[in-house]
Amino acid sequence: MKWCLFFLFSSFYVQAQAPLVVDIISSENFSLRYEEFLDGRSVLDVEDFHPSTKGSHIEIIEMVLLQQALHLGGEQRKVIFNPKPSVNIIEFSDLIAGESLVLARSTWHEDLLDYKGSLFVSEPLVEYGEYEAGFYVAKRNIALHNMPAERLNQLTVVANPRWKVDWRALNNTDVNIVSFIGPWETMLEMVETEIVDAMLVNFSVSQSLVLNFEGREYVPINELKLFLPDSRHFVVSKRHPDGKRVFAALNKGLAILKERGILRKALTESGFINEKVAPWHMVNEAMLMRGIQ
Amino acid sequence: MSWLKGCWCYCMLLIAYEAHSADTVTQQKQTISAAFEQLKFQMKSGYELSSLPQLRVIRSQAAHYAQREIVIHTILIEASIRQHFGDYKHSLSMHYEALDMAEQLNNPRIMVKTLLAVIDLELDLERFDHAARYINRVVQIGNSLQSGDELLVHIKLWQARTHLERGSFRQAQHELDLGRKLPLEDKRLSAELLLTEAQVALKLGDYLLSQTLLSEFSAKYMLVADTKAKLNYQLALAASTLQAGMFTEAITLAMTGLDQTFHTRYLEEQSSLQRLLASAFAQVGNYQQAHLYLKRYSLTERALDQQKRNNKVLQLEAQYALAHQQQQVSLLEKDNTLKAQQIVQHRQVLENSKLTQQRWLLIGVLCAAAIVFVYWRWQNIRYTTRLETQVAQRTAELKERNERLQALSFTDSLTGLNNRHYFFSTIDSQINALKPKHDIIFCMIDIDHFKRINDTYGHAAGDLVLQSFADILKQCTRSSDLLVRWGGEEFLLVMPDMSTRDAQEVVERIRQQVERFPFIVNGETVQCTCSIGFAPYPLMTGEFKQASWEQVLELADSGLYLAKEVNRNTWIGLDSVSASEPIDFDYLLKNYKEQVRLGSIVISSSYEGLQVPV
Repeated sequence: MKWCLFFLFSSFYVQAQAPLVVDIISSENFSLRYEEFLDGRSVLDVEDFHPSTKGSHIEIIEMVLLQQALHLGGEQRKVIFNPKPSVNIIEFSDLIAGESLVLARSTWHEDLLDYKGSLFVSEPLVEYGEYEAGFYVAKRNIALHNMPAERLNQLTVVANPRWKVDWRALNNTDVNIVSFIGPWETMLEMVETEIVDAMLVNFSVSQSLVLNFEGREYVPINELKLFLPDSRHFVVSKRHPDGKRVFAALNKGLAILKERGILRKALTESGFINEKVAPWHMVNEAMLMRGIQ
Repeated sequence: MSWLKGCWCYCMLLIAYEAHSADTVTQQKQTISAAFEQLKFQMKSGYELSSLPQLRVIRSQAAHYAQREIVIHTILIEASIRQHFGDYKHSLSMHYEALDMAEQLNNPRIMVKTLLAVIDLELDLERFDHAARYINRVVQIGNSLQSGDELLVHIKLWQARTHLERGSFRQAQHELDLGRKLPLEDKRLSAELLLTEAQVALKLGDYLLSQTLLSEFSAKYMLVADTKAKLNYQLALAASTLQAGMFTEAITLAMTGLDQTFHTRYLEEQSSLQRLLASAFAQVGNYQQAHLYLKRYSLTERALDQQKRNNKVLQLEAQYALAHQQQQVSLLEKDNTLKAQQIVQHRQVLENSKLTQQRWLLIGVLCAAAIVFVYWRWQNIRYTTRLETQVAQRTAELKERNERLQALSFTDSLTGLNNRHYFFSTIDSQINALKPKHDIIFCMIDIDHFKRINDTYGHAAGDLVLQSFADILKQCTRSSDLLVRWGGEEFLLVMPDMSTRDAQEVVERIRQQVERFPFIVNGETVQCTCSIGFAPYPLMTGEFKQASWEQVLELADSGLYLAKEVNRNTWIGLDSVSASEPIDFDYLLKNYKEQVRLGSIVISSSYEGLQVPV
């Protein structure tokens, strides 16, 4: 009996002390940039979410927010990141199988529909209507800088049909869509070389909203924006033994973060929600169903 | 073969009806309508290629009797069948043809139905922007429909479908909510509405709602649903079960659905079911089956892509042909517009030139009129001037003539001296102009024995003597004196401002000059003398009585006669009348010689020792 109790206790202890493995995408060097961003700080102490590294910042912030949420939700274990190829992550195969527990990258709700039976879907990190983007054109293409909304039917925008939410957003505007499945960088190059006029990009963090990529500059069409019609969520494996608990902690923590305004603060400071474009005209506003739902 | 039989019957029926002479056009129209309704009823089960021949016969008959509504419907049905079987090119052109006809018909219900069919096609072609435009149009037309019209539900349904296809699920849900609130009796439409709502719920991840809706569908409308609707129901049910995490059930449902898709054209549903099965199998850990269905899904998707690509090419071709046609039409229109503009411009130019011409003509006419006027005025002035000149000339001439005439009338033509007429016209003025204490001498002169000269030498010679005599008188008188041929060989000399003594000298000089002058008559010298009598004016014939110039003249004449009587070549001048009492002038004149003798009349004479005869 003594041995049995000892075994139970020790197994609980081991479980309590075992680190929490969180999947991240390995294709971009997020681990390094994450460390660079923390700069020695504890992740739980991060209150300033302004970008301090070069490159996309939202992934870093999501890694921070996930940990803060788990901690606030009662999950005290240390988090270890497990980089995985992006293809695996999109397919959620490890999460479905229960081989992975949680992913430190938010996902469009639309992409989770068929996996709702296998995945816990958290409360939204980014609410429906919060994710805004601009029509980025080459800076030297001055003629397009101040294009009015009435002339959007003359604008050609490159988009990847696999990015379903972008695709749906653009389909609800007057723009002409050029379908392209390929690297994001090539799409920017298409804009640069004027094969297309514009590309949908979330607003740059810079004061001037200028997107600088490999020495080339891109600017959004003034006063025009659109929102990506979906919400973003963290997912937790249902099959994983810790899934239910971690999911409960995550949802609880996210609710606290939301209540404290930290979610909004983080998204705003990181530039994901850009206050500068708040008064801009939303070209697919009808999709918001403001005042109806 | 049943459809061939049916077609044959329809043809015979319609031909028979046409041939029946007694049938009215109305009856024939009714027959066509009935045939069309029957056909529609037969086609309720779905797209049947077998119905096409009947459909075309009805369309041609309807076109013959101008039943445009039926024509439009038959076109739309055929276009829809073509669409279903992938002939997008002709389907597109037929839809546009129907739309053109519907626009001409100006019937909102027909227009709505046609537009909804066009929207169906546009969604099939994934031309969401076109579909959205047509939706806006149909919504606008829908406002004119009556509130209970079921077409309004159709509009809501297609609005929702368009939103669903475009990926705006919340808008789709909203339209369906509104659609379900409208009155509706058509079960098929209710079923479609419900199924679409379940699909939208699934897109939003609300599988519970979806399952509720699908249960309702199953309970109420499964019997009326067509094959496609049933398949979509199966798919939606499988998807909602998958979302709910009931993988085994989802697999069973999807398998059942998949069985229904074999040997059908419902590739999209087939692909979705295969994908769903792959996902479900993967989630239950049956990776072998998951891989199998993923492969099948991949093959179906490839086939679908192939079909879509081909359809897209066809669509592009149709679009290109349409665009090309429209371009041609547009070019022609532009050309026409241009030509019309050119014609208008031409007309304008012509009108302008016409106006300019008219203006110039007017200006010309005005100028000509002005010139004519000026010329006329000039001519007029010239003519007037000429006339005036002529008048002036004539007046001058007349004046001259008058003067000449007057001169002639006042002049003796033979001697050039004034005549009696002149004397009478001027004597009064001379008398009036006489200064006080100045006298006028009236002097009568007569050639002695002039009758003898005439008789001896002829009248011409007499005339020459008279002319020469007049010349002598002119020489012996002053320019202020008035010399008048009084008649025959008698002359009157009026000498103003002259005293009696001076007059004596003048008359003496005349007498002497005449006496001495050698008158040349017919080459011979002839001697002539003259007798002269004169009297002064004013002449007092009494203390208060003055003789008139006529009386003085008669006294002068009396003096002449006395000189003739006494001697001839003599002059006798009356110096004064010295009467103690007023003398009657007539008496004085009649008794001139006696009064001279009596001394009442004092005379002077050139004849010395004058003895007044009795």
